Amino acid sequence: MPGYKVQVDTSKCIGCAQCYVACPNKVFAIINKKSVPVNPDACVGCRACIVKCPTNAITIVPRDIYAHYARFYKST
Amino acid sequence: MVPRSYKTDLWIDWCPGCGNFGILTAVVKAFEELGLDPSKTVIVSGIGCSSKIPHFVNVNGVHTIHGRAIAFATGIKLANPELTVVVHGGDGDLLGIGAGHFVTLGRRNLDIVVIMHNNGVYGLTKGQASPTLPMGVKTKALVKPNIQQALNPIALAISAGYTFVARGYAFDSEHLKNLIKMAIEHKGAAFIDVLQPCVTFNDVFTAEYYRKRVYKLDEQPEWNPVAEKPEERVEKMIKAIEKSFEWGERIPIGIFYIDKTQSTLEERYSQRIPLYPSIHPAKSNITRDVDKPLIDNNMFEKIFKEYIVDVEHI
Ligand SMILES: Cc1ncc(C[n+]2csc(CCOP(=O)(O)OP(=O)(O)O)c2C)c(N)n1
Ligand code: SF4
Ligand code: SF4
Ligand code: SF4
Ligand SMILES: [Mg+2]
Repeated sequence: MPGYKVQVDTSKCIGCAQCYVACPNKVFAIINKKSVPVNPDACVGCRACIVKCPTNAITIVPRDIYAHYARFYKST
Repeated sequence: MVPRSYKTDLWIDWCPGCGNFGILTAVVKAFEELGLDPSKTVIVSGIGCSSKIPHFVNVNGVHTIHGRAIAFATGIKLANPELTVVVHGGDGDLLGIGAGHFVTLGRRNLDIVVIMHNNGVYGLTKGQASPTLPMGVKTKALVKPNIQQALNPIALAISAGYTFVARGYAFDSEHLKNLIKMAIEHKGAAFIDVLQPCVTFNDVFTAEYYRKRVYKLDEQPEWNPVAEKPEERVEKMIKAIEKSFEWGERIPIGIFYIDKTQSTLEERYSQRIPLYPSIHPAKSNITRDVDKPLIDNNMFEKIFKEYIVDVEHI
């Protein structure tokens, strides 16, 4: 019953692994030079990956709350 | 049972990567799985980064003053014993300024849960050493290594009389969620010490540090922390306290001690006042006649006229 949905836009991702290093829960793995959320259920929505990602490739959407809340979780 | 969300739609202003996110996730999941009635559940907090949590959980919330959350929670629980009361606080809040209340709750064994966000620092006030930071450790914001010794929250809680004592890790939300559920279901004072990385001010006890070291007591076949009979108490307490000093290459998380032999404060009161808790303050009559309060607005303003000031409305 995960609380967040983690998405990586592979067209933007440059495989720099900053998200992998920043994530306290090891949600990501770098596969073929792209970040993949291999452990998505462990996401706690802390945004560490979002603020580190140089290309704004990551979106974290809370699954269970109002849609307008989601905008806070997109990289800007 | 209709599944409901216990998360509010407020922006969460903790630093990205903060362990508090993991604790919030665990609390929300625990409430969801227990199906707690939000109108009968209260989160009480003190002051600190950690103490912002009532704003983010969709149950009753009381964000009080530094160190006093347990005192408020005690009043709330005694006034209405039908409520589930959960206290959240930082290590500075609960074990520094609030240490007296922390110990007193153990002696009383009142049926509430205390969840301590243990980050080793005063996060909100920019990273001073908290009562759980070991001596000789130098975190980012300290000019020189910490000159004071750390106290051991688990050992303190057990010796104070808490009847459920556990430790969780903020980024093992699933395990922490189970601890929170058990603590809520336990009758009596429950304490969970949660190891919480503070990415901004604690560069020693990080997520990386804990990930390598924590192991689960519940996976150790020989570990049985429950005192079922009075004659088992001392032995179990001593074993738990000894275990709580294990800190270094391996750090235990899980349940350290459960005592099923002690009465709760509510039970002790009901022996003295037989009508309690069937009649408690929240259920008592506070009106003179049908809809006339003991003190109405006019009367209130008359009594307190010297103290009432107008404040600017924004
Ligand atoms: C009576 C009082 N004294 C001091 C303060 C200043 N103060 C605010 S938060 C805090 C400590 C916060 O540390 P902790 O309780 O560990 O919470 P954290 O921010 O680390 O979660 C202090 C000393 C205050 N708000 N009130
Ligand atoms: S929001 Fe936090 S927990 Fe979730 S993937 Fe990003 S860094 Fe990891
Ligand atoms: S930080 Fe961004 S660009 Fe770098 S690997 Fe992760 S998703 Fe890709
Ligand atoms: S200062 Fe530390 S405890 Fe406070 S929100 Fe930031 S990371 Fe969390
Ligand atoms: Mg703290």
